[in-house]
Amino acid sequence: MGERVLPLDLVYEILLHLPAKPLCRLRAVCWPWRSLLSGPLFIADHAARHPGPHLIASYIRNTEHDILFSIIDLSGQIIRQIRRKEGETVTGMAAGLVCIKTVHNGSYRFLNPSTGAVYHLLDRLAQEHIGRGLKLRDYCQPVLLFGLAAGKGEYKVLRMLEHRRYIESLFEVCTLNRNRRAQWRAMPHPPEPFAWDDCTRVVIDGVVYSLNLNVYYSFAWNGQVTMKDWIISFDLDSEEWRPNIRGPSSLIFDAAVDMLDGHDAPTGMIDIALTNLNGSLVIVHHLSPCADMWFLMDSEEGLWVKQYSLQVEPYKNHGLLHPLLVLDDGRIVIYTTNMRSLQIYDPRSNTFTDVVSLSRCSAVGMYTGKLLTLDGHNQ
Amino acid sequence: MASAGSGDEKAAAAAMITLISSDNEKFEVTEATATLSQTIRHMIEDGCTDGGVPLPNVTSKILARVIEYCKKHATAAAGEEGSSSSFSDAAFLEVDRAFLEELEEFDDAFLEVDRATLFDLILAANYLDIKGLLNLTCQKVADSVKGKTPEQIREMYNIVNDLTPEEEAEIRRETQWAFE
Repeated sequence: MGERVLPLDLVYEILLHLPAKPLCRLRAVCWPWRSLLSGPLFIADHAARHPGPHLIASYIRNTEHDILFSIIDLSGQIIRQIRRKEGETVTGMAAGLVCIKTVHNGSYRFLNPSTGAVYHLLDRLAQEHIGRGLKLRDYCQPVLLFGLAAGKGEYKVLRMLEHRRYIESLFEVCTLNRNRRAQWRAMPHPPEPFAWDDCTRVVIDGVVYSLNLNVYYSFAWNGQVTMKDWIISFDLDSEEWRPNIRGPSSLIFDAAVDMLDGHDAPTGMIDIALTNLNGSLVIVHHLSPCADMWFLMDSEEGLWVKQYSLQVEPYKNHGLLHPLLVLDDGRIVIYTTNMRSLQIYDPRSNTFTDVVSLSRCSAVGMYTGKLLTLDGHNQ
Repeated sequence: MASAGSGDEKAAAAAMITLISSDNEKFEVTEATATLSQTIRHMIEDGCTDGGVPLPNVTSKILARVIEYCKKHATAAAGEEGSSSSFSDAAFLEVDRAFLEELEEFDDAFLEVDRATLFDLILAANYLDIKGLLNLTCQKVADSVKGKTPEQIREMYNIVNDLTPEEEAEIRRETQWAFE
């Protein structure tokens, strides 16, 4: 019996069953396989067949471990990884994009790992701000918040800049473009002055949300809740600030008392984080030994519901919990910052199960892009 | 509905389909077994199965194996329908699990064939449009390919490398991470 040769459509069918890593390797078999495996049709079919969920993890700089970021599945298996070039560090991951900073020249660029597209930012202030005599070097490192704007489906970036000496902030927006460096446009200030820190912001469906830390500061000064509008939000599509969102009032009292008492404030920071959980805006509030998760149900009414209260084992120093995803069966995938590990929390039994340890990891997010690149180029 | 032997013998007899392989061998199967194949299901719906269904692309050796698969999985499908209509208490779940395990064992044993047979099964599953079987057999081939280098794949499948050394080096450089 002679050797069977399968028609190409069945070879296609078989290859669709393979994960991304061997597929990238098999591009080196021959030309027909190379074009098949790099074609947009195959990539789209493969993405539909392997819907994930997938996570993306960035890593701190280390001479032995020069991986910039990797895409992993829920069992911790590495599906793709991208090597670090000299002086690169990841500063943000959202909407299928990775924001990479080159440390020695302070420049930022965005990489779309699934298309290989790279977007560069213009290294200067918006024309309006330059016209006012402002200089980029007078401002601290920018905070870049980015996502896919709802309307035209363009990637946009909101840049928040804090003055090095004065209490003054600048806000600028740009639209990412593959062919030229994006021009910054000046934005008005939000309706109320606001202060931010590292964990207190997130972008969901093209809308930026950021906790206003002034709410706490005013409480600390006055001893009572004088500000109710916790969260400022900005729509990347219309490029407008949206009405502020009221926070859960019981939460501010607990959090502020806790902060004033200095219970779990070795850093002096507020243990509150904003996160995107399955498309919902969620406040994660760490009040030892619990971590409460408040879901925003109605932004106009400021209606929040505490859907989960996780019992954190006191002897285990989990650090901040970063919930990533609620699975169909109700379990929650969580990245714990101190232990640098991926865990699955079961609300029914109130237990954590270790999935994988991500040593040297700096951050973990959901990855929504495709797994295969169009042209094989990584950067 | 799984209990074909009880009461309605006539309906069961009427629901038999004859499949004819390329080498003219005839196989009598129940409609439930045959309709795992979308191709045959459409023929039945169009009422053109009288006098048997000729399958000129499938040999008797392969058709026998395909039917073996369909029989097993048709029972599984019937079992699923049965359990979902009844209340699902622990005993039922236990039965389901045991049955699924048995099915998995069956699939594993079913795939213990040489590569030529496996390819014939893929061709047959594709022609007959049996999704479960196509998935199962393709996954088997994919698993055997997963850990291989491009050289090993070329050797396994008699593929001529038409890439120049420069092109191959370029592809390897682009996707270096995949070779580590």
